[in-house]
Amino acid sequence: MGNVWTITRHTLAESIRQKTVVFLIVLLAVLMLGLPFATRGDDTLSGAVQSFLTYSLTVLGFLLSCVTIFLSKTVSDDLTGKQILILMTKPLARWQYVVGKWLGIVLLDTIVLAIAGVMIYAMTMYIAGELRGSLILMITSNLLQLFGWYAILRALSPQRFSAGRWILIYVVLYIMLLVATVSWVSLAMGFVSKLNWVWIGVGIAFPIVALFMGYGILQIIVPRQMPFKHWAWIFGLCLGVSMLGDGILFALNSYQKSFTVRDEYDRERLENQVLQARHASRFRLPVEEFQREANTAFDQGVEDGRYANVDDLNAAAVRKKLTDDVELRWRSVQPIESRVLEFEDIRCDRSPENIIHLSYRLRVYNYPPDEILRCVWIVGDRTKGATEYQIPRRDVIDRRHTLPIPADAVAPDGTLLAVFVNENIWAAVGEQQAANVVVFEGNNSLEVLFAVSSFGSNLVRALALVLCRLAFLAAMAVMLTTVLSFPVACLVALTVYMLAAGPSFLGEAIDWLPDEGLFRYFAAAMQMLLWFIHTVFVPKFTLYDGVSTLVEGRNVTLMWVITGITRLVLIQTAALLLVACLLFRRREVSEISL
Amino acid sequence: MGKSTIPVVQTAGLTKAFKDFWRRPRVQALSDLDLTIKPGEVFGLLGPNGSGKSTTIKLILGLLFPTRGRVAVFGRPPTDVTIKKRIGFLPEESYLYQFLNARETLDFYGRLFQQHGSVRAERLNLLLEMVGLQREARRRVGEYSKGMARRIGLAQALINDPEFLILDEPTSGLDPIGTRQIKDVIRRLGDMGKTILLSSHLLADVEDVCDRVCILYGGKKRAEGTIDELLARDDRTQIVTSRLDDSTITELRQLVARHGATDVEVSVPRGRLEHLFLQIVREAQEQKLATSGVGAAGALPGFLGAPAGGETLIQSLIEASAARPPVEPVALSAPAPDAPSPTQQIIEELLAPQDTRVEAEDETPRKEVESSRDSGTKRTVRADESVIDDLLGGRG
Repeated sequence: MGNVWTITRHTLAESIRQKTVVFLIVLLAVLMLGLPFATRGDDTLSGAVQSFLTYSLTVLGFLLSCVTIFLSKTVSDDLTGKQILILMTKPLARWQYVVGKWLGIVLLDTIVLAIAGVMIYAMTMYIAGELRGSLILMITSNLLQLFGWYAILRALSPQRFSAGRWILIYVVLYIMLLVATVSWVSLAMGFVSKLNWVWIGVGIAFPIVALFMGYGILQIIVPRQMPFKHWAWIFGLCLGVSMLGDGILFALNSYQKSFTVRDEYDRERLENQVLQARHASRFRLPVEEFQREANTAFDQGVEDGRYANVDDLNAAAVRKKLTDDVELRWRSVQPIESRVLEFEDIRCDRSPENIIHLSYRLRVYNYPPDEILRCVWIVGDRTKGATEYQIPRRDVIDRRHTLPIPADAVAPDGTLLAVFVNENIWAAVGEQQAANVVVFEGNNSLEVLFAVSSFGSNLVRALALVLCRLAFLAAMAVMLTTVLSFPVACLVALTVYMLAAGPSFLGEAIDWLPDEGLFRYFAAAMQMLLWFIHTVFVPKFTLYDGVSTLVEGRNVTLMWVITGITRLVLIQTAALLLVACLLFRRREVSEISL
Repeated sequence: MGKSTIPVVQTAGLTKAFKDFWRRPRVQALSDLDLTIKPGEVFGLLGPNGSGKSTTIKLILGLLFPTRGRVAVFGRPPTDVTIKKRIGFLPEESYLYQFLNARETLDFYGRLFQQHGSVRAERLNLLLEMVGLQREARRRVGEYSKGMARRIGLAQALINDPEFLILDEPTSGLDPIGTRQIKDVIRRLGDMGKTILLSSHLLADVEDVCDRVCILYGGKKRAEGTIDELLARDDRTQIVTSRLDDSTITELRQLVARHGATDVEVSVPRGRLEHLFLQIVREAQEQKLATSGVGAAGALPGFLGAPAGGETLIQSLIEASAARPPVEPVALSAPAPDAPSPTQQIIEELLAPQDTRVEAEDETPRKEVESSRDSGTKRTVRADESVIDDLLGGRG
């Protein structure tokens, strides 16, 4: 196992020195700093936050995926540069080599994701106005100066850094990342609700960073061979970088005023809906009651003689149709009618200051002329000890609306009672008004959303899903470069990535085929083939994309992350690595291609 | 350390044919090679370009898989990872990671042997001292000259103190000092009982350090045996004595003539490996044997200004070397304890007809000089080897 780690370290060192990676990190930093100002969304603060999150996470995912595929260059460079010849004469098993390379790429991805995650979080807090300038000042300024000084020292110092100094740099970064990782993990597990730990970790890391910077200064002063004018150059450049860093800081600070809340609704939305991780709970469908009613109707029908011609075969179909009818009647709310809807298992903090949300999108048949739905929501069951609230609403129809209600409407046993009253009455003068019937179509037409986790930990889990996808891509790229040349392997890997991340139009197209004769067999065969491909080679990345969930303020559940890790990483990535090891074992590394 | 009886390398009918994309054999690199390398010997693999030397080495190391036949290293197949701990390999070009510096390179390879940090660091320093690159140790390998890179290559081959060392053209790209150092290292390691496989074009170097050689042509073994066996000429008897004066020589001639032997030659009794090599290649070319390497050289093209003629280059070389008179018997016979000083020898070498002797170069820094001629062996020169001693732990 030590050999795997040696190759991992080596791959990490090699990758960090690749210009593409450095360029990527710089690009990401610039993007994170510039995106909030470029993407304003719909002029509300919550919209700005949402659009920033969407853009930054999407760009991050895409760029990192491409770089991950390109990083398989380490394998093909070894093969074409023939360093593999010396490597394979050492006691290094071929599987250790393959796994080590993969792990090195994944480790680099983790580091970049961690850095990007911190920046995204910081910029989100910045936009939301929750991060005061002084804290950004401390973080960004020190980071920029650290990178600037380090780059300059490296470029100008006539003595290259020895392995010891490299180790010191890596140790410092590893310690910072270790603290950050502990924080991330505990956040992902939901132990800590606010990111106090990160700030504590950052506070511990910065003395170490300052120590390193002092050490860096010593490196300027100590070398005897360096003439004075070099010292002056280095000092001047470092000062320039510091001033640049502080200048960016100052600009950020002054531009923060441009991010203001538009109104109370915006603020509520931002604090309680966007920057939260909420779980959606659906209303209980009283299926047994439907069936009971249907059976009663059926029996009545048999008695009445209406179903005399119905034999046993069709009885089930008739019963089902009756059940569907009952369900439809239940879902529809006629004018002046009300419907009682129950929610279960709402585990939240039941204090009146805590806000939960009722999210609904209702269909109205026979549109009211002004396209406004008038209704009253009565939430809370007084008999169970909950506070009752009556909320009259005038909502534009065919849109999703979110209704904030205090959390003490939830009963102590975790149930919530919601009564919907359809108040669309038209007293028409001289015109026949059709009734406006409200239908709760679909099981997500009404949801209760309550906070279960914090935004920070939600972000961590969303990034964990991104990492799962990157691990898969890294394994595939490594597998391909063991047998193919680098350009071909890259193209194949990119194609698989596009297939995985894009919509599965092929599957949908097959659904459109006519359902008769030969087409049925063809469609069935194609479905099986597609299923095979999707399970084995090309996973559906859209299934593991938590960005939209995060942006809507819904919870990226730990179970989702675990499923992603299991399916994508443990199964598919491991399968790919196995194939790569087998292919590599049989490969003649010194082959002369004719 | 007891001598093991398992041969270090044993091949049986080893064949390698390179196939193209459609699996058709295109290049027959090696045919039916039976090779045995015993523990503790220095083995030379010779042949013209393209005769299969590098292919053999790569097959031994598991970098290529044989088309037919078997190869066993330390009794195991070459893909076995455990035997790699006992092998050191110096490839013909230095394939090192350009972005690492010398220390990091050696450290990286040392880690693969699971050496402890302190052991690694110590060996690292000693190796860098041995190859003379301590001062340049912090520069990236990508900035090294070719000779420096080869030296680092040698260092990484020795980092695990291997029992079996494989050197593919070790002296290519090195200046004379480096060449001398490599030869010292090889001799010293051979003295310590390590097995060394050497593949080289520099025949005099091979002649100096090897115990046994094998000569390949076109992927087939043409000759194998100890240097003595191969270079012996058995239609003649050779009597080697200590230095004789003229009168004794005349008496001996008369004695021998009285007994009917003719064509007495009194000279330095040693054949030339170069002669043998050229003879073998010429024979093979006359028989028009298949080879994937360099074939018979044709006439030089007219525009290069050489005289047009039917002579092949090899022919002209053979004739030229045959035309050289044998070494002056008296002046350069077995050196006595009062041998001429090293400078004197060099001057005499320069004045003597052109010869491919390189011993003179080797002998300059020696403290004592022993004859490599009368004993017929080659491992008698002593040099300042304290560093190498420390490095190799003086085990024998």
